[in-house]
Amino acid sequence: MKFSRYTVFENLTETVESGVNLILGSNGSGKTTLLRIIAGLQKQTSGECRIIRDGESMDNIGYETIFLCSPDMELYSELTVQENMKLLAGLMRCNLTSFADWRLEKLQKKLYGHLSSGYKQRVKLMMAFLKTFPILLLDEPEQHLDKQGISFVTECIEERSDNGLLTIVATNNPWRNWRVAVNL
Amino acid sequence: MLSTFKLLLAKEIKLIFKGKDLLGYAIGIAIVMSIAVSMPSARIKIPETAGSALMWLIILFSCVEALQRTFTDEMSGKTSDLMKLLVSPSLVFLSKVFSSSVFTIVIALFTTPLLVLWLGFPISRLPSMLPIAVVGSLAIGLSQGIVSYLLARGSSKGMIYPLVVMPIVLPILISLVILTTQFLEASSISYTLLVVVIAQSLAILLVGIAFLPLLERAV
Amino acid sequence: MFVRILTVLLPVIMLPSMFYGLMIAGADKELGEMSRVIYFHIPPSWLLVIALLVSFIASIMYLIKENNLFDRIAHRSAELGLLFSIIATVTGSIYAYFAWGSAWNWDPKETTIVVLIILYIAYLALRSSMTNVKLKPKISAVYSIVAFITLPFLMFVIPRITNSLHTDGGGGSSLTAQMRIGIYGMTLGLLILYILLLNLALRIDKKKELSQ
Repeated sequence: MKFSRYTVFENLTETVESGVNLILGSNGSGKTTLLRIIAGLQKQTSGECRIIRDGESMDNIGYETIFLCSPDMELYSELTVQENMKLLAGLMRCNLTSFADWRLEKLQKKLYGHLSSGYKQRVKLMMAFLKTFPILLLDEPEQHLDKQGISFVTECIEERSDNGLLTIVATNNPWRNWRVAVNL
Repeated sequence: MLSTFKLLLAKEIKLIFKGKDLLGYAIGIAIVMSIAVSMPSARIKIPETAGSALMWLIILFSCVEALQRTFTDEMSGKTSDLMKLLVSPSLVFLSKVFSSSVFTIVIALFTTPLLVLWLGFPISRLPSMLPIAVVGSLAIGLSQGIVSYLLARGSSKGMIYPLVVMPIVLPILISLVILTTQFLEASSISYTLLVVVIAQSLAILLVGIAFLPLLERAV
Repeated sequence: MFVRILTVLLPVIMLPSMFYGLMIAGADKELGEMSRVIYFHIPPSWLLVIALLVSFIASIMYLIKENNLFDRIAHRSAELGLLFSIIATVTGSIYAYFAWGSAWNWDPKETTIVVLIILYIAYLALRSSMTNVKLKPKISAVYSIVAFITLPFLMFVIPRITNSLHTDGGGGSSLTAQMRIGIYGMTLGLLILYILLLNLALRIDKKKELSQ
């Protein structure tokens, strides 16, 4: 993958299946770029990224299949946490989960833009786990979270793995004993 | 799809009216400009054509900031990637175009009675003026939408919005001035011109919807 | 080879057509010799539509195929269309001065061609304002398509439903058969010139791209 004359990564060949897979790399190694390519938000310079379901290659990946939660993404600053989540639940066509699980019950009426970075991260993760996507991409989900937050996210990820779903986590350091799929 | 569109439209309308700076700015500009044109012409009869032109220019000028920001806020606020993952770009585009049209309609409904009164036109004309104000605002909103989107998407340098949008809106604006003059004069209305205004704005909107997915194919 | 044939054809068609129009074809009874400016007004008007149509089609092809050649064609054809529209406007103003007593009358056709010029200046300004190399051709393509969509309304619909000084909304039904011969000849000549200029511009662009 190249940006202008700068090569972020190249000669990358990997297959990931269900469960939790890590993309390890230091800052600027291309973890976010790789996730964006998988999510379809960015096009690779060369090569291909294929998603195979039940033995068949999916040419048109619908909005129901894959989701990315990244530090680059934000929700609407001028809407409250509740308004943001109601909107996202409506767009994802699913029910709202409990704000209490993410310790957000007291912040529902607060504007998203006024939250601290830690609480913003909680809101983003709540969004990521709102719906059971077959493929979930998480970019540094542990960022800005306290111990309780990291523990809860870990539980959510493992629950997905137990249900046979695919989760790809981009992070700086190995996490639990999850498989390292790519080391950039 | 309709329910998704309604959700997005509700969100856009909430955003555009919640941030009261846009509404305040637009109303402020409309009032100031209306006074600026009305007061000096207090004792002279303004021709209906001039009055119509002033009305539409004031409406357009008041809404320029809101129209320009329709898409830039989404891009700079980093919510565009989230929307791309969840909904079709065409639906997001449509919701923003319609919300900015709603905003323009609100400003037009505020400005039209003000100008009719202050420029000394017969108040009896007002009920027939308001529908053209609504239709015209909708036409302007729909036709400038795709260009606003292109500018925001391309992160264009400089204040290029007026240069790029105005030629698209100008033919519609000219037609609206002619139509509004006819309403003010209570002369025979050219319904053909009205159809042309609507057809042109819809044609531009449809082009936007048709080619947006090609533009949004991952870059 | 094709370019060489056209290069030879250009003077062969253009010069006799010009000579015919200026010297042989009968002048308008009312305007006299000044009416001969239409040989430099009507052909560029037609060519501008062709050039902008080519730009439009190339823009659509670019969005579908993502081939840079189509982007270059769209860009250069729009530039040529702009050139023809300026020529048509200037020569039209000369005609208007003698025909209607004023170089500019805000006739619907005059107005719409000014809007057209501004539209395509805006297209070029938009292109030059973009720094993202990947997005620039796509965004320019969509704008070119939107600009072209307004063309039928500007050039054909609005002049026909409002009062226009142009006879038959500019359809040219008052032209004599002799005048038509001259105009068609000039149009063909200008078409050849357009193709040659476009070809030249594309070759220059390709050379620039290769040297980078």
